[in-house]
Amino acid sequence: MGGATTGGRIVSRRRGLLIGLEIGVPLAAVATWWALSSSSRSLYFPPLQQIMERFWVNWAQERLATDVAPSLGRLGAGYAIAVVAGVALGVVLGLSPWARKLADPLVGFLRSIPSAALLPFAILVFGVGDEMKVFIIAFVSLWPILLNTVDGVDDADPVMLQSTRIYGIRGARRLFRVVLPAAGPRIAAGMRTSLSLAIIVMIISEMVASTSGIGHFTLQAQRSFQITDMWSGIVLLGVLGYLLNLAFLLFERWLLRWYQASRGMRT
Amino acid sequence: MSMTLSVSHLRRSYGRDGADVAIADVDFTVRRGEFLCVVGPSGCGKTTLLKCLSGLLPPSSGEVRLGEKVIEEPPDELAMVFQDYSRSLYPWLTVEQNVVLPLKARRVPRAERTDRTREALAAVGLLQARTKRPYQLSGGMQQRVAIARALAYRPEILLMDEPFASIDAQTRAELEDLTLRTRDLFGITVLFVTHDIDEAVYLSDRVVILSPSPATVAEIVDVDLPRPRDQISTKELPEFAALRGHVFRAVRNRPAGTDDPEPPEPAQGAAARPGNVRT
Repeated sequence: MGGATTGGRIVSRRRGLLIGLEIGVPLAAVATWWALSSSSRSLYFPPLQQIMERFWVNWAQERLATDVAPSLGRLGAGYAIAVVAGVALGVVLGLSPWARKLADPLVGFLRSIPSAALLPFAILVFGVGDEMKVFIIAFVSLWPILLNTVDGVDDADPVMLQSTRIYGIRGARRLFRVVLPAAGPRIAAGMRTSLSLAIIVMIISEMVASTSGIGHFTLQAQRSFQITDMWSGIVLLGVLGYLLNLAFLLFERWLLRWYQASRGMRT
Repeated sequence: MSMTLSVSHLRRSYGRDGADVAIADVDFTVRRGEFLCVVGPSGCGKTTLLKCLSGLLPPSSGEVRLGEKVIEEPPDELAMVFQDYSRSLYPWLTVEQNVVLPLKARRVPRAERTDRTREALAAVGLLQARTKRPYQLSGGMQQRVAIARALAYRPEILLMDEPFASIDAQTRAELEDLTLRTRDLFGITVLFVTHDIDEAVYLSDRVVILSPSPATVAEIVDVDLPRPRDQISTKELPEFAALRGHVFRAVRNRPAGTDDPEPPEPAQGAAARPGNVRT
């Protein structure tokens, strides 16, 4: 009893330390940057204070609707298409060994194409508008979701499937109440990988051909020697990537609470 | 009401040309309302037998009938409790949702669904835990959820595949009595597979003893112990000891009076049989 309490105290103290580090280290890094750059006269490394002033003006005021919203819209649309198509196709391929055999070489080839290599084609077909960006974000995000869904559905526990058969659970009910939840952890893992890819591709597609978006603005600022603006774009992209990943993690933890709890990952 | 389950000349083999025979020739009938236990040395093909009986696995030859109907797919009148409760229940559903899902699949009307679920959960003493999820319960409680799911399904026959093998002795005795009680309450036929001879004799009306692999029926023993059974007084009866000894010898394939402290031959058990991996 006493041992357990001491153990619990040690664990909670360690956890406190870890949380402290997680918040403290980035704060210390920012403070260091702030201090070191404060008297900087370099064109390339403006003081962080100036960067943050531009950040505020650009992203909280002037460009929220004209650049941030379009970027997030493209990201959301492309990613949503990838999730829906990836899970749907993945279920089909996961349930049917035949379909999987037929699709395997094609999937293997398509997923190996580096995303940047598709940009000329996408621009040709869709122009330089939103469609091109949504297409290329969706295309790149599709594969990790698809492949993980296939594996998750294919790896379903045989005993679980036997009890599903015994109790006559079939069709859509089997799919939505048994197969998809069982594959949930794998699908989520694929979605997490895809989210990072989607953000990268969003930025690249906006840099290559666009008239709006955070990527477009950041490159334009660099080309017109507005280095402080360029830095404000980089900072925003970093913050966005971090926040989106954090949001995804929280969503995943909520959705798969049964999985983490049943494996003793959380109490 | 209840239908008989009859197994005739059942044979099941695996591998190319059916070289690996799990069940050679099994023949028996589960009478209506009966509690029948199947015992046998480990690896003798009990799991394969149960899969064939439930319609999960087609036999290589012979047939299984429920009433007049030959079983090819799991029939609506059959429910099953698996050994591995953590894999047969759905951890993303609550206790109540686990029990009600098969009823939805069978298109039982909503009001009746609720009644049957409540009744089954009450019968296994889990009404309080109905909003919990399986992983929040102990192993014994999870297996009670699996039993409740089977009871709510209102089967004619209930198959139980070593349901208490991974449950501690104390809880196990409780679950054995719970099984006997609910079986009386719901009036179902039970076919119970176990490797525990005490358990088989304690629970059953008859014990089917399988031979070592490939399985055949070695003997069928009538258990005419008085009911209701009691963990202490039933097991103190001289008849219980006699039956237990009889079944033990039959499983070990040694006639009375030839008991030997050393096994006379290496057991043809699970570890020795290469095909066991697949079953």
